[in-house]
Amino acid sequence: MEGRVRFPLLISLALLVSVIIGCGSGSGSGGGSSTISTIAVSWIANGESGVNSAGGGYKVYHSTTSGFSVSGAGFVDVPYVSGPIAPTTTNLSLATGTHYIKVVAYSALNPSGSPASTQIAVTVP
Amino acid sequence: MSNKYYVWFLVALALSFSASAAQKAAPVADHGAAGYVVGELLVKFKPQSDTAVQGSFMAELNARGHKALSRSRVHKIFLPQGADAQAMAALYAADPRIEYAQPNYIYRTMVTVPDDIDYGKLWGLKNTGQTLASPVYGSNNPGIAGYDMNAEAAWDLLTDCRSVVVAVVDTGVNYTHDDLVANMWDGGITYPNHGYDFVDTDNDPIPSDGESHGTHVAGTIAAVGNNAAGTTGVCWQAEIMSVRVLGAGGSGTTDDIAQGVDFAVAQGAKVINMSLGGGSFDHTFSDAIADARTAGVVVVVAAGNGGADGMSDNNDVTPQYPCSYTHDNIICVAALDQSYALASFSNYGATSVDVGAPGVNVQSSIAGVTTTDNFSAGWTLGGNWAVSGADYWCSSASSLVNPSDYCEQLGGYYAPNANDAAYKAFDLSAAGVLGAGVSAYVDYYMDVTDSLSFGIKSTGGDPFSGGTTVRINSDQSSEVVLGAVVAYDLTQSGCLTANCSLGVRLVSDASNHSYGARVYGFEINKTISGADTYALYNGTSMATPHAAGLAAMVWSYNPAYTYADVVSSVKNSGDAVAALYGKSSSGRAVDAYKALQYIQAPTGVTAVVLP
Repeated sequence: MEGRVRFPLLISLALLVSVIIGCGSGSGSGGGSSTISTIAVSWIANGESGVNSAGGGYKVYHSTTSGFSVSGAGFVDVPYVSGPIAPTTTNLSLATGTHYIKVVAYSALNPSGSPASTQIAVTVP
Repeated sequence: MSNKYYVWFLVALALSFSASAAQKAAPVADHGAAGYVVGELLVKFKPQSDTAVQGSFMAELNARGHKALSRSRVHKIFLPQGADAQAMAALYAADPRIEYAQPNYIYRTMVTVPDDIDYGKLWGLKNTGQTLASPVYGSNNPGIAGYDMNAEAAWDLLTDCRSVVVAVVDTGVNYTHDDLVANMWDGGITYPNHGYDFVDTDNDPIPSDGESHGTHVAGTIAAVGNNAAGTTGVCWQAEIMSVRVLGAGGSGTTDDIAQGVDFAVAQGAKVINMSLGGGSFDHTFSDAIADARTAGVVVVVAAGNGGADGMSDNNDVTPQYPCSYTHDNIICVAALDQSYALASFSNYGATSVDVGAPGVNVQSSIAGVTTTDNFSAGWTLGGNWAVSGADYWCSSASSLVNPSDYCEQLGGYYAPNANDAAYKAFDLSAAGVLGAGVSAYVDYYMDVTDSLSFGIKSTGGDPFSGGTTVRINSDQSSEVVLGAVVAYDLTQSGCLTANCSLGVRLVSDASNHSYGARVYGFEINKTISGADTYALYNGTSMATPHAAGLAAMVWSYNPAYTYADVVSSVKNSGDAVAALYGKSSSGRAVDAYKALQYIQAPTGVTAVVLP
C-alpha cells in the first residue's frame, strides 16, 4: 500500500530528491559538456472530480528510454492543492539529451491512477 | 461530507509550508487511502511507565503532540511529518515501555443498501445468486453471486443523478407511477408532463396505449431508490424526460424518432436512452445523433434481440441501427444473463456493440395492468369463428380461429362468401385509467381479394357496424404471415368507455380461398394513475438503461466530463467477461463502482525547454 497521500513537505522533499537524483544528474565532472535545463511540461486538465480534489493529482514520469514503462521510472508528483483543479504544469530539470515523458492522473479513490498519457519526447540541448 | 473537511486541512498545511519551511503546522489528520490515519499512532503504556517515561518515549518518536484517550494509559501520538503509523508500530512493537502500538484505523459504514421492497430481485445491481420466481428467462436462474454492476459500492459514492437529465426516447413513461413520479424531469410550464409525445403530437407522453416498455426502461434507470417501495434504479434520484416516439405495438418511424432526439437535446438532456432499433441505414436518424454529439450528448442504444427468430445475430454482419452507427457518442449495449453469459437473444458485434449489461429477468415498473383474454368468455362468435386449444399449427393454449379447424394439421380453407365477425366488449371506463391499448398476435393465410380486419367501437355491439375497421392483410397480394403484431391505441380511438367493443372479421368472396386466420396473445394494456405495478422483462432494451443510468452516475460524479469521457468510462472500466470477448469492442460488462473510480489517461502533454 503506497502511502501516497503525504504532507506537502514530503512531496517537496521528494521533488527535490528526484530532481537531484532521479531526473538527470547534470554533474559535469570529468569534462562532460552536459548541462541541466528547465523543461516546462504541461497537459490538459482531467475532468475527474477525484483528480481535482484532495488526494488527487498527476505524476509526471520521464525516462531516457523511449517506450519506457512508468513503473520504476522517475517521476515528479503534482498533487492537487486548492481551487477548482489540480495543477497542469510542472518543471523538470533535465540534462542534455532526449527525454521521454508520460503523465498519469490519480485520485484518492484510485491511487495507482489512470493509464499513462501518450508518450512525448523533448530534446534538451 | 468528510472529504471537504480533509481538503480544508490539507490546504491550510500546504499554505503554511509554502510560506516557510521552518514553521510548524498544526497537527493534521491525513485520511488517505491507507485504511488508517497515516500520521497518528495509538500506544498503550505499561502500568509502570510513569509520565517521565511516557514523555521520553514520545520525544524519541519526535511526536508533534499527543492526546490521552479516556481509555486508561492509551494515548494518541501525532507523528512527525512523513512518518507512517504502520511502520512505527512495527518498529516499536517490542518496546518494553509499552503494551502495544497500533495505527489509528478507519472504520466505515457498510456498503449502501436501499430499502426498496423488490431490491432482492434486482440481480443486475446485486447478484446474490437469487432465484427469480416466475422468470421470463429460464436459463441460469439462479445465476452466480457477484455477477452484477457492483451498484452498492458505487452508491457509497453517489446515488443522486439529478444534475444529468436522462431522456427515455421510447413508448412514453407513466410519470404518475408510484416509483417514478418523484424522479421525473421538471419541464416547467411549457412541458408540464415531463416531456413530449411525437406519436400523438401532443404535450403528454403518458402511454395512451398502455404500452409498458418505456415505463420499464425508465424504472431501470431511475425508479426512486430507498423509498421502501418497488424497485430502485441505477440512480436513486434522477431527472427522467419522457419522449414518446413509439406507439401501439412498440413501433415508431424515422420522423418521430429523429424529432424526439432533437427535442431531448434542445431541452437539456445529457444522456438519451434508446431501447429501439431497425435494420435500415437512415440518414435522418443518423444526422439527429450527429447533432446530439455536437451538443455533447451521450446516446445509449440497444444491440437488438435476434430479429425474427429471436436468436442472437452479429450486428457487424447484419447492421442494426442505431447500434451500428459509428458516431462516437453512442454506447451500444448487449444483454447478459444471471451468470454473465450472453443472453440467447442478444445481438453482439466486435465492432458495433460496445458493452454488456444485465438484460434478462429484469424487474421494473410497468404502466399499469395487463389483462390477457383467452377467448373463453364474453365473445360473440359469428360465422366460422371458433376457439381452439393447442394443436398442430397452434402452440398457444387458446386461439381464436377461422375456420374452426385451422389449428388441425389437415385443417381446411375458410368458407366462400363469408362475413364472419367475432367480438367482445371491454369496460375501460374505470377512473384512473389514463390510457389503454389492445395488442394481439395474428397468423393468417389470406387471399388478396379476401379481408381480415380488426374492429373497434366505443358503444358496444358489433364493432364492424358503425365502428372503426382496420384491415390486417394486404390488399395488394395474397399472403402468409405468422406472428404479425396488431396493436391499437384505444384512447386515440375514443374507446375508454364501459363498452369498448373489439373484434376481428373475415370477409371472403366466391373464389380463391386460403387457410384462414388465428388470433392469440390477446391483451388489454392499461396505463393506471398512480400505478404500483412491476414485472420481469427480457431484452437488450433492459440492458441499455443499466448503462444509461451508469452514464448519468458517472457524469453526476464528474461534472467536468465531456461526452467522450463518459463514453470512455462506461466502456473501458467494466469487468472483463468471457462471453463478451470478441463479441463487443470492450469485452466488458458495465461496473458502476469501477466507472466512478476510472480516470482517463491525460492528454495534450507538451514539453518546452525554457531559455
